[in-house]
Amino acid sequence: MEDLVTENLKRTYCLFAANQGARVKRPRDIDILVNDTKSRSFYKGIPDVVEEVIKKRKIEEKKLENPSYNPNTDIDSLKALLSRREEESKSSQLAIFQDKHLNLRLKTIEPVWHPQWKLMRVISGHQGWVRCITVDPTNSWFATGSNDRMIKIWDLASGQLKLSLVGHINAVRDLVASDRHSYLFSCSEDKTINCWDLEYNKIIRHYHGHLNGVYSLSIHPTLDLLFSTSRDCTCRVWDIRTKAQVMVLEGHTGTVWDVASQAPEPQIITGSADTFIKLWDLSTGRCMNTLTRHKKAIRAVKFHHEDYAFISAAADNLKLWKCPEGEFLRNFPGNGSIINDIAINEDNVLVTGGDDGVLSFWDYSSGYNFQNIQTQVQPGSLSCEAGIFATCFDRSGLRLITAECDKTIKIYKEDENSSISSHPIPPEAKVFIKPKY
Amino acid sequence: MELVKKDISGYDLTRPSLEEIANNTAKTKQALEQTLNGTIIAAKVGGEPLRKTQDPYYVKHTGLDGQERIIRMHEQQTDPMECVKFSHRRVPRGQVDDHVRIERSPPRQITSKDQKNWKIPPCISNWKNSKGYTIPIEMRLSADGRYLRDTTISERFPKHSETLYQAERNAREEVSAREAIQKKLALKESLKKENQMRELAAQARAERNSLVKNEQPKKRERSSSVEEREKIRFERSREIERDRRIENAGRKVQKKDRDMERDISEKIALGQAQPTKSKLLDERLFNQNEGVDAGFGSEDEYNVYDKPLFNDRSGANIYRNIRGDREEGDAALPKGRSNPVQFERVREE
Repeated sequence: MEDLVTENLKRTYCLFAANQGARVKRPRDIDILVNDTKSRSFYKGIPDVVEEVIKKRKIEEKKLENPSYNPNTDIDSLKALLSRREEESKSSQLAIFQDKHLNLRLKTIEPVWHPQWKLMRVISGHQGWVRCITVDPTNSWFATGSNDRMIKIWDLASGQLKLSLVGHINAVRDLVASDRHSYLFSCSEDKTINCWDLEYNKIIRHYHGHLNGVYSLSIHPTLDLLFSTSRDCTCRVWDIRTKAQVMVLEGHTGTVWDVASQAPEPQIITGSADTFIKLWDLSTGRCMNTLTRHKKAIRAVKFHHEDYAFISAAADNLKLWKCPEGEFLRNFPGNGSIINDIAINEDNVLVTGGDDGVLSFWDYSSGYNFQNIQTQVQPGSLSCEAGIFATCFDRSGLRLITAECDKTIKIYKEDENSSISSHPIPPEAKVFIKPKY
Repeated sequence: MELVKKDISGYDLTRPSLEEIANNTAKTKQALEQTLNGTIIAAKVGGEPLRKTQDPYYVKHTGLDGQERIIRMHEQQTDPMECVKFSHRRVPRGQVDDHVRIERSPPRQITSKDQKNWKIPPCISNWKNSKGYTIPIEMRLSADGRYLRDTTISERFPKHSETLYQAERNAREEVSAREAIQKKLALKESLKKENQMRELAAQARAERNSLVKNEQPKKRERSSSVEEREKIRFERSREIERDRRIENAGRKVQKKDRDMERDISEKIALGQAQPTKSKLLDERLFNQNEGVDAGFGSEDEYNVYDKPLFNDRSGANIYRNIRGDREEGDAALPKGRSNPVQFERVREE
């Protein structure tokens, strides 16, 4: 019997050794069949809509094969910024919306109306790209860091320059004003992290250890810990008082662009150029979970102030994840441009600053993109210098400060004249939710 | 194709309670404290935790010659404040967790439009053609269009320059006219002043004359005794003068002679003696009471020599322009020869 089994094993090995590691090819028919079954079960009882959708899909397939096929259907509604995919989903959504039967069956989310935002003030004072902003806890001033190696402190109400801090020898990449200390932390491409005492306006501590430029900082809300991420693919945890490096969080294989921290688990999340988000266990220094749904480098991660969730931004999409385990919740379809920073205020207005100078405003609850602003470069700059590096709401959430590539800082506010009648929410903005069976 | 959104209303997105958060923080703090204590000590002292030195111990050792000896072994003492010997090294990456399930959707098919957008045309070179051969220089020159450029000067340009020129000339004329007027005015002023002064002078003279006229009768009233005394004073002064002249003629002892005849000690006492200066020795070395290097100036000054080599003659005197001298017609110099030197035999008498 044993001989037989071994013989059998050998035969199988001979037969399939060559195929080891090769992908299993799925015939195309199966894909279609699966899709058909899916859609049939989904649109049960509404055959005409299904037919319509199928018809549409056929047209799309033809379009994919032959792009010159009926070019008139390809309309860019939002300055050709929104991807084609989103367009199609919208048009099909509209089809469903028009159908009353389906409307009754599907749950919907109505987007919350938010007033439009408009430019209020342009502050020009830096001599290089402005890379980062932080607003102080008393909401009286904000600090900006720039490629000209300076940190400038501005009065929030008047926009007047209060102070210039000189100490870094390369571009300042991130700033954090602490809520619990009178400290301002800054990190730079010169591999240093400095702690400024704002009572003396002097550097009082250096956190030494990064092997490459430091790109992002975050302070733990309850413990005296400072998190920094760098081009050396690591996130380091520092003890604020003793300057000692508590631990190194290794695991990313690309530049770690952004870090966010909160008191409940996960206490640290990092987004990296290797397209992964990692959730870290702070007590052991190990990676708890790696989120791999993004296709492009993640330049910004942000915890929601109220929900137990966080948002990550990459060039392909914004994604909403559930804490603590990092379950994927929802996509905010992006416009294809690199997103440098995200900000969210208490009214659930989500703002993303794009590398191409587009400031997008989203309704957080529905994911509806209600406004896009293309920034104007200051006179004397090139048109390609329209780019937003950092976005930040002030502590009240009524002013939006952006740091831009044209060496200016721009402040936006809500437009008092805009109303729901002047800027209505289009019907197709309604979000349909997949029913659970 | 994402038609409808995932229903996230079923998820509980409420944040954990404050108590839970506090518990979590305490747990983390406790876990971190241990690692932190170690790292703090490490960070404080030269990157290495302070450790106790091992006590010395003794080793029995038998040498090659069979002699037995006891060796005391103890640790070499190190400075705890010494800097870290090795700078930061790139530590090899820790084990990366490779077993991550990639959950992203498959890449989208690229449309031909996207492909077209990504196509970047090759750059056009002025030096090489598409086959990589170098383009000859004349073709390059003709291609770069530097001789094709047609410079057109606007009609307004000469007009503009003409106006500028005119304006400048006008301004100059104006300035010179103003200057002339000012000069004239100054002259007038000075003439006026001069006249005034002259008048004043004449007035003063007239006044003086009138005064002299008034005083003359007084002079005549002088007493004869005064006149006598004056006469005596005059004679005495004449006599003194005469004596002085005679002294001079007879070369009586003069100051110069007196100085010449003085003794050296007297001269030193009077401060007239000058030390003789030796040219062979560096005088700066003599000033020994202020230290050897007292005379040499500060350290960063570079003056090896106490005085310049050609101190007594200026640069202009080192070389003489002989040709120039000749042309001046110096009679003392012989004129240039036209033929070789001819020697004459000395005739014997």
